[in-house]
Amino acid sequence: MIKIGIRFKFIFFTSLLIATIGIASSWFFSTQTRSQLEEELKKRGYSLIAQLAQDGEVKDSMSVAQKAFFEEPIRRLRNLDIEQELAYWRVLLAQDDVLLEEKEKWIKTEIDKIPVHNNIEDIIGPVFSIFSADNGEHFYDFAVPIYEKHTITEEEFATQIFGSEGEHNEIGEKLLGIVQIGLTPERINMKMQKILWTNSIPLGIIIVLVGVGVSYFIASSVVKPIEQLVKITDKVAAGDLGQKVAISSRDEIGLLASQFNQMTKNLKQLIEEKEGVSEKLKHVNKELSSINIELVQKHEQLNDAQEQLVRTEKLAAVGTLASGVSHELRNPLSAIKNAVFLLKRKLSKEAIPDIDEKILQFLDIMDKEIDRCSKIINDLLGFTRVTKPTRLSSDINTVVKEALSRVEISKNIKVSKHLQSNLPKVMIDANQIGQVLINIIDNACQAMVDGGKLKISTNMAEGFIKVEVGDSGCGIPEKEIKKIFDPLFTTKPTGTGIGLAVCHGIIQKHNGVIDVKSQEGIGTVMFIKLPLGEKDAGPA
Amino acid sequence: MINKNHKYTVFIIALWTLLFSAYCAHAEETAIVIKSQDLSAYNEVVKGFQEECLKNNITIKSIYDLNGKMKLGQKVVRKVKKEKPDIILTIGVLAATVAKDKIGNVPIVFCMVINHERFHLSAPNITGISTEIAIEDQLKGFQSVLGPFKNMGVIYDPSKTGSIITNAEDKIKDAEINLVKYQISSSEEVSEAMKNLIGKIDALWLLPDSTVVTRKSLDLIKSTTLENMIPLLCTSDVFVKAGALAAVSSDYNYVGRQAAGLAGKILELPDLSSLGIVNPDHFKLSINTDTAEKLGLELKVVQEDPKINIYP
Repeated sequence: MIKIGIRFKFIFFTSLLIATIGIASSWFFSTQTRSQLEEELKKRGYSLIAQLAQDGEVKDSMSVAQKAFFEEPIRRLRNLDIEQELAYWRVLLAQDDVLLEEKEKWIKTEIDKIPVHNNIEDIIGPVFSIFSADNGEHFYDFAVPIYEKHTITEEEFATQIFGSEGEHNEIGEKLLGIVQIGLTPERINMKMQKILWTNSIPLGIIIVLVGVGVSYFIASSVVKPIEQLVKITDKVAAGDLGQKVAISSRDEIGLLASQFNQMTKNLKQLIEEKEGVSEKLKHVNKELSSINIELVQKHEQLNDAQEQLVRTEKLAAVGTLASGVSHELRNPLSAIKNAVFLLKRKLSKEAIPDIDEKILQFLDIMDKEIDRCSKIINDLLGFTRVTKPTRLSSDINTVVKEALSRVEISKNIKVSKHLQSNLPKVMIDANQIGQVLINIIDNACQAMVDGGKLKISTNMAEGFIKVEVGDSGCGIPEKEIKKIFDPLFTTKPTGTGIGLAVCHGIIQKHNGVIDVKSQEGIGTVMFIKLPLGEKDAGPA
Repeated sequence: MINKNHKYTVFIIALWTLLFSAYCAHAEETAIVIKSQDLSAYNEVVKGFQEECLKNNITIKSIYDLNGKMKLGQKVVRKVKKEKPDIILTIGVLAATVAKDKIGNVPIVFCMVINHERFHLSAPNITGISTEIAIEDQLKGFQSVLGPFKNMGVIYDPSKTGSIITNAEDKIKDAEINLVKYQISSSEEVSEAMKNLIGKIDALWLLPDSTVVTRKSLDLIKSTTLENMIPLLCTSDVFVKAGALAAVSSDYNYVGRQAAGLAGKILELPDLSSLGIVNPDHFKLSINTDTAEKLGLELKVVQEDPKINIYP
């Protein structure tokens, strides 16, 4: 798209305006001048014809119908015709006889083509008309009646006042005929041409050129400061708010420049304030974020605490129940165990060689089940008897190794250990932590019935000793993960659901964290975090 | 032998001749009359002059008619000079002008010169009778026809009749009449003047002003005043005849008589002197009854006066 600048537009339209005004003025003044010249020609015609009418020699010549007597009046007439506009003249007597008719040599129209006035008696004063010949020539035609005056004007007036009787009627004048002259407006055309070529056109050109020059000057004085303003605006838009427009003219542009400078100054101030506010906002935002994080943490902690509380209450309830039930069951179980023992002795092969094998099998089953019940009872009792840990500075790797040695691991389970060396000692109850590890490792192995990988690692991070026990077992469904530390919750067919709850309690008493990550079909990882820097609490 | 009758006849003739000669020897003053053209008004003046000259023992040697021709006038004046009259009466502006220009040593009495101030007809040997009737007499005459009226309009060319207006204004004011003036400089302005005055005036006073009174304008003035029921008052009975309501104008016969009276007085003076310009001492009132009727005027009293000319 072609860009047209203000300068060009201004110059173009100003020049166009000047040219239009110039042409209109020229046309108007030409028309006026022409009208004026035509009017002057008309006046000259009337004047010349009046001169003829007043010429006594004309009256005398007409009264005696002597053509030759007209030579002198015509000569006088031509002398009066300074502009040489006289084209023809004609003298017509009252009887409609043409006494004299002549034309100038340079007139192309023949004299007989110029109309003769008819009914001259009807002409009472000077008559004017414009005659156009077939060859294009135009003439201003004037005719005037010539009267034979009876007397001087004052006596004529006396006749009016005093009345008359006698030869002369009210009119008192005898019509001798008419005199007709024609003037050509050709000189007007020549004058107009001259005016056009010597005055109008050169003047017009000068006016247009001057107009273009002046409008260029004016346009420049307007456009230059605007261009400067545009440049500064670009810089300001690019971010340089220190720019100032150096225009100090006392007009609208100067005012615009000063307002622009004020605007950039205000803008700079506002931006600085905004940045200040932004900084503050960032700071506040940061604070809010950290508060938010804290809140989230607190929320999690609260949730954990709530869960813990629920779990603890559950545990407490379970513990109370377990304690009561265990005590009550232990005695009967002992009695049953003794009885089974005695039965086995009495019903052994040595004593009864042809005893049914099934009876002996049933007695074994009973013995195992009694053991299993005892274990459950012990576990329950163990759960209720979790005591305050006796913390001693211990090497976690040693505790892990000890726990590994005490668990029966199937040969189809591959064990990998990544125990970080030189870990700082941690204040723990090694037995209890060992118990926890045993439980976890045992659960991991139980989850890998068909074999798998058992991975145990230890490291230090963020003020904690971390122990991870991972397996490649069946994993724990997501909806059950949260419940695994709840007492009596188990995913195992033969579990009591107490083990992990006890582990959770122990770790909690150590101010640590126990957590789990699991994916069904992939495996489970148990995390234990034990805080460093805990002092020995002493034996419970 | 001479017949007795013949002797008697001769005796009578001789006696008469003696008597006539004696008479002529006694009445030495002669006058020549030069009239500008053949107008009935001028002829009336001549008649009056002749009649009065007889009483004053002034013999009229010749009466010349210039027929309106300036050249003829100059010829006549040369002749008159040769005739050496005691006094010359000129009638009309042409005769007065020509006589004044060429004759300085014979008393001249001029009359029938309209607006004589324009022509500078003053010289030690020139006496004149103005054509203007005194304004008081004019107003008296107009009021006898119209009754009292308040506003009188006048159209005039100051260069021709300005002096008439100037001289008349105070007297018109004294008569408690408001003179509404409108000045013009060409006869084309008469129409505009009429439009301006109509509605402001009770009567229009038509002066003998050749700018105002032309053949064209007179018709316009007559028709406009009649349409608007405005009485047209003038100084020429010719206009009354043509339709104006009333005119106070000179009695031409009496002008001639007055001129003869002045001639007698001048001739009695020891030296060549002038008696100045006097107003006519006789005037006539002319009224157009048709116009009066159209204007709704009652003229009973006026009509009974035998000195008043009634038209038509």
